[in-house]
Amino acid sequence: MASITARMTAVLVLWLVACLTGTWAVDRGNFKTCDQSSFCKRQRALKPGESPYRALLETMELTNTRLTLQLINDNNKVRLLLELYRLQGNITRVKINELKPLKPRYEVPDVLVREPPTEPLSLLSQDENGVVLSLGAEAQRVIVSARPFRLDIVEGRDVLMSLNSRGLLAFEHLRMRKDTSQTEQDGETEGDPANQAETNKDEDEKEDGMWEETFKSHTDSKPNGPSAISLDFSLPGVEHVYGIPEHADTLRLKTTDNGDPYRLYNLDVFQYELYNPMALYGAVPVMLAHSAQRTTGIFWLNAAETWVDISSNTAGKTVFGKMLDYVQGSSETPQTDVRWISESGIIDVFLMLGPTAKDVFAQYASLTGTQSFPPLTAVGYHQCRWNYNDQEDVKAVDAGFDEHDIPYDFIWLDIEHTDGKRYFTWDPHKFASPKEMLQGIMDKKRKMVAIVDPHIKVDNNYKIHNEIRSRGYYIKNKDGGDYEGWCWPGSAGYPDFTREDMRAWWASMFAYDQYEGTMENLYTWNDMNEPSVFNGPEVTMHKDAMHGAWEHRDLHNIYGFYVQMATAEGLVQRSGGVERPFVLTRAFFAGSQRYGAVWTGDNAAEWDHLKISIPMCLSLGLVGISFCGADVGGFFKSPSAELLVRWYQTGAYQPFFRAHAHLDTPRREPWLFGPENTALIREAVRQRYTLLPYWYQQFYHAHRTGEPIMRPLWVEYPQDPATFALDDEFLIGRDLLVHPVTEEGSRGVTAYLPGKDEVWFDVHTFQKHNGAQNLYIPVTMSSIPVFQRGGSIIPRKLRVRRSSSCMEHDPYTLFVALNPQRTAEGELYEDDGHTFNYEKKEFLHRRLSFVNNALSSVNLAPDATFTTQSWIERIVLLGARKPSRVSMKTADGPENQLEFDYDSSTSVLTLRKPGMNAGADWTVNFE
Amino acid sequence: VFINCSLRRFSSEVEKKTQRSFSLMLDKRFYRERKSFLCIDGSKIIPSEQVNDDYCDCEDGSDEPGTSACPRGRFYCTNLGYRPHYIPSSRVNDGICDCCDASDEYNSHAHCPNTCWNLGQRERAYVEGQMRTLDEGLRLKQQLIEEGVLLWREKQAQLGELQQVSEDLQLKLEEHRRKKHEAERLKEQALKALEARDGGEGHFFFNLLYQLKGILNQNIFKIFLKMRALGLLLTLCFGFLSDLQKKLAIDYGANREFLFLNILTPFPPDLFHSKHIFLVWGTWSGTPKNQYGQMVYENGEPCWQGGSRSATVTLTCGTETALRSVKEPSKCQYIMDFQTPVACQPVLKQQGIHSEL
Repeated sequence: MASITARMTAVLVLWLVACLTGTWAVDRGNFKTCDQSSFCKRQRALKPGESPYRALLETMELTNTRLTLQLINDNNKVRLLLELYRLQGNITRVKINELKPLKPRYEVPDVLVREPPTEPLSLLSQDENGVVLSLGAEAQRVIVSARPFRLDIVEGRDVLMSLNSRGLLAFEHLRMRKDTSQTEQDGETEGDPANQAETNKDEDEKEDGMWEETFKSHTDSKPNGPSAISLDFSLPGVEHVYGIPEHADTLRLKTTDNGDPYRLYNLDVFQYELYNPMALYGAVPVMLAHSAQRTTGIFWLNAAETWVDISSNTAGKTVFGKMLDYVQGSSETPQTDVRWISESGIIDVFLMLGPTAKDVFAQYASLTGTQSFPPLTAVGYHQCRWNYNDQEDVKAVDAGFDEHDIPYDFIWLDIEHTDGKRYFTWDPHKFASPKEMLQGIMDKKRKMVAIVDPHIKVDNNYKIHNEIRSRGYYIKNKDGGDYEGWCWPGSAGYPDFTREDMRAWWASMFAYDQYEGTMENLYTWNDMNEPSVFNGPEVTMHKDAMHGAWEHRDLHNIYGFYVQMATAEGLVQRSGGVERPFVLTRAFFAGSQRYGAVWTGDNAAEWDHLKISIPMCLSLGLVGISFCGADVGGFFKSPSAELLVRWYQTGAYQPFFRAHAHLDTPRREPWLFGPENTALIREAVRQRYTLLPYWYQQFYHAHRTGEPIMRPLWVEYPQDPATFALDDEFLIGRDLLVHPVTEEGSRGVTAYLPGKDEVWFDVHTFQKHNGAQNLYIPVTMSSIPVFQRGGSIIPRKLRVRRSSSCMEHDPYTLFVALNPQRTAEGELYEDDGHTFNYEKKEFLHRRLSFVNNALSSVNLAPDATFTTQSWIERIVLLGARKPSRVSMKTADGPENQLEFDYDSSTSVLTLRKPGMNAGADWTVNFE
Repeated sequence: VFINCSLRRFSSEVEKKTQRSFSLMLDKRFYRERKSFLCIDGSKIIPSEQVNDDYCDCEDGSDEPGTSACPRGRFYCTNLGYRPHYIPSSRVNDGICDCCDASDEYNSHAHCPNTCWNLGQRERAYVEGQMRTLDEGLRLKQQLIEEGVLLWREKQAQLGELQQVSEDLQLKLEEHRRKKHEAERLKEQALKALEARDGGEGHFFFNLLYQLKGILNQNIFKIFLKMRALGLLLTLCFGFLSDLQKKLAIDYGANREFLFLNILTPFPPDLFHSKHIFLVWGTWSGTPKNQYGQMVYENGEPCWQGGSRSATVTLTCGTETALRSVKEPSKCQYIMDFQTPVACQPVLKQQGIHSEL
């Protein structure tokens, strides 16, 4: 009896807990665990060290550009074809496919910017156990072991990376369905030994989920049967791995031995939970591995559902344990093992071999391109809400910003602006004259974004729907009809963005004569492009839906990428190829950086969500997507004034700076929380605007190099282990270190200032601090700690105006922070801010340097032309000595003396109105 | 004292300069008269050449009244023909026309026409219209106040009546309760007598008592029915009474001018299509100067996903009493504009005339 009551109580408590937590957490039951995803369960059940794969060395063919080799699975005799390429820039590409698949397997198109150029491979040695090849110019070799098959990439005596070292290579070959009797099948499967092996009893065809799989009420018909692939990678010497966004987790990836692997499957997760490996809206299958010696990367080019397991031989060991190992000399080399599992497609993996983080960024950029260079205005502040109700509302909010003297560049319209969730239309009552509204915004030199989602209302009176249907552009269901799902408009079709002709048509819909009521200051936001299907399995599309010959299963993760690609192309086309587009997307894939900005989806007004915005955007930046931000204030729920202020202060220092709020939340425009908080928010936004020249220069740099704008400290301090796991602070470019305040009621934060020989200047007080220390900084509500690196020069525009465009011709103030060697260096970049003319060398790029008591500006791009009206109104030297005389010399003018002001308490020297044009050559001498 | 005085002198001087910032800025002679300039906040003395030289020297922005150089500066739009006003310095030469006399865009690509005369005219026409409305509104308001006095009396009379009726009813009820008590006592006595004789010989007497019991029971039942009717009436009466008392307890303004407004539910019945009480009267929430300028309704019908509906109603002067606009900036939080003559205030009239050019 007692036990029954106890059990009842337990059940009740559980129920209660479920009810209570259920109100605000994700409904986990809506999303699969690895165990509920049959291929993941199957693959994960494989034991290491039992690889059935053997390399058939006699099949090896080596040409100048590639090596091919057959692999055989000794259990079922299915043969695979291995291709190995040495790519320019220290990248090795490994492709594995079935030698003769029953039908073609999906290879991801359109992600690589070009067919990667190769370098010659040469054979160094060969015996019956394997071959050794030299990898291009680097002193690297690849060792192919035959039995079991294994690849090792070696540099000198160091193994950089090993493939199939744990024997978890798996390739589920395509096969005929065997649900009819065994005998009928036999006749067909004979004949081609390379393809269809003899029936093997070990291979359990009866296993659940191979030919059909049911999750909740949804059945996946799986007409092609099992098709999963898997491969393991060992990373000797590595204890820190990063990347594979999108997850709401720490920057440093955790080991997954005791839980689910990290999942990559673009999903619309309602009220996502933090600190777990569940899949979110986007997927970039790129992982970075870092040690004090080297940074490398793995790019797993596969767009199907993917799971990534991480294990480590040092995980779980305490620092003391590690030290003990070290002292006793018993320490094995630390090693991280990674394993990728995908549901279909082929193995196509790029091993980016560094050796530095910046090399890896360049390597990845050479494959998938860099961050698109946004119009300057998009780097300003964005005001969004679901929804601004009507034109009058838009006007009032716009006026509110002027009344409270807060700058902003973009006001956003969410789904309610449309006529019944029919995208490309306007609500005829609430937005009766959109051009008038847009003109009003343009008069203030501001812009607007309107949402265009990829689900199209099924309605015979809707032009877009009729066109897509009649052209046959919709994704098809498994029975060949147009796929229909439930989304905002009710029943909706989903255009097949994987088709080039469909994308071209979609792009043409953004022309001013097609998309009525639009003008050049209207830009676009693609939401729900995972795609989100309210009544689909895991709130997304059925895997057996068809994109031409391919199943949705094969390409799910790239759908959102294509939506943004087509939309960005539309914005470029409507301007005749002149104007840079701006498109925000929620779903993304490798290469999405080329098309615009990404935000971290539907977060919540909670302190932990503010905190997680840092590692989430850092992880995206590491894999090329620099233009990242989180909804300022939190999407769901209502922030306290304190949280909102702290979020503005943080968001002002993240690349994409947009406030957004759910329909059901009370208004939260910056001036609704009393004059004090209005002032605090105003100050945070103003700080963003003063730094726009620096931000813009960072975007230009990211566009040129692929380096992240918002970056973890370890990228700049790769040998300082204290930085490896930091994700409560970050750098913008190299020169600004930001430590947001993410605790309620915080009185201070402890920031780590890196760099043994460096100094950092507090940008608010100009106080100097030494590097390589944990520094406690008391904080008030007025700001968050931000430091400028000694040795850097940062241009700012201190005349903050209504919008970034209003500041176009404003003068610069240069903040020169001296390092202990009394030198500093920086850049100044400027162009017209909105066209592609920078590609035609219409820009201004200066190098600013302070050395030997002289500050000078030299042209970094002598072949480029751009005339600016901006001038240098002020130069502020931090960590300066008092000069007796300061003089300036321009190329064609006489030397003239400059007025200055020296504050001995802060060692700040301010030069008054030097006045030279920002594009000129000049030198300022300090005597 | 001296410092204070000189400061004030300087301030007032600069104030003057500031007020005619741009036109005087060009007049270099004015500045040559003085060799230096003291920032209004007294923080710094600068050479007068540095006033309006497009570089911010004073912390308070006072040295650059005519340029965009100072983050905290202000620019004075003279706006001849319309209303003069200040704009933040950041709007000087930003390519957007802010002053109607175009004085803020003296060095920009913006082509700003002088619109002050038109604006002034429109403003004057508007003010005149407002004045007419105000006059008419005040006249109507006076009427309503007078009607309000009658209405108040009427309501007070109603209240008195209701109180009288309820007292009467209570008395009657008390009387009946007594009667019932009496009848029950009689019945009890009869029953006791009956019991005492139980099994006894007096058959006739028994019969009599039995009949008596019947009559008594009937009597009690009649009284009971009457009491029930009285009780119902009383409840009804109490209901009216408390409703009325609630209504009369509301603050209807100094002259009870808001009495005619059905404050508890002033909205047109078709506004929300709701069977329930959509919004519940909260309180007056105007400014100390104009206490009756705004009302708040709270705890209305529950809203989908929690919370309850609320509304902030702003009362503005008009010749009719009508709801002019309803907005829902956040879900289930309404902002309404209610026009009524009783919101017209004579003070406003004076201000209006004053602000007119």
